[in-house]
Amino acid sequence: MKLSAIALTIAGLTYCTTPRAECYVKSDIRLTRQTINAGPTDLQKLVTPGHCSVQYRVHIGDDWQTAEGVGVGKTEAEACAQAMDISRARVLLEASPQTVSANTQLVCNDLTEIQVRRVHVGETIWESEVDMHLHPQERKYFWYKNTQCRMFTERNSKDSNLFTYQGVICRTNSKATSKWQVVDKY
Amino acid sequence: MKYFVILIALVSLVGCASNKTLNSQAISYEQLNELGNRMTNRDCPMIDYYVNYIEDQLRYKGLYNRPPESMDDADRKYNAKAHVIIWGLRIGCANPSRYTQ
Repeated sequence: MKLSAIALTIAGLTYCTTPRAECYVKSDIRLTRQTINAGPTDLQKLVTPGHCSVQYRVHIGDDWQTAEGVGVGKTEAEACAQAMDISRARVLLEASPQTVSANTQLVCNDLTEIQVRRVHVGETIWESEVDMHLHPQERKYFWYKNTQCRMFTERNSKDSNLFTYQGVICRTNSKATSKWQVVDKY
Repeated sequence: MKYFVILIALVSLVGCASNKTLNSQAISYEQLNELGNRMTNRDCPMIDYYVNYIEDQLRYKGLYNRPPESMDDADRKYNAKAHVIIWGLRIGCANPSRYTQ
């Protein structure tokens, strides 16, 4: 009986001293990051003594974006590594949630400016001159006759009608920096 | 017996080949669509036969190797379906895990 009374007293004290949870309103704000679907690809490098300019393409959200960076260093490797770091940071900024902003830049370099355009079967092109396939499932690279290939879509308008074509491009050689050939379009 | 079986197979093959050359009427879009729907990875061993067969249909219709921009709506639809089937076979047979992962 005595022991029970002690136990009850301890239990009561424990209940009173235990901090109880309070309810409060919690705000959870999430920002959506744009998806990097493909790339980097179509790497171009321009090296001058002490300087290195790099340019490549990354598919972010629904579009191909050009990433650029200029690095300075004592060696080519050092300058190009810095240029890659700068361009990578710009890509991450592009993919990160941002407030709406607009800016105009005058960019001067000797590297080819790549844009999505209309292509024909047999042409040799940069990978990012054609758009990614509309279906994410079909965006993955595949192998055909020991060559890496991927499907693309092309949107064209003719007589105020919008046409969407599909096609296949394949690497012209096995190097990571190779260009691509339009193998089919339909 | 063995030679007889080989002979039958050869005759059948010749028969198929001659039918193909004589019949220059392309199959309809609906038939092409049905053919595409029936294709599975079990058809991979016959991929060359099917690709040639579908390309022949495009030849019969005068669509083979033609840019799609030069086609009317019906031909563009037929041509696209044929190419989708061909690439479905080529991609699916050479990259078996592509559509299962």
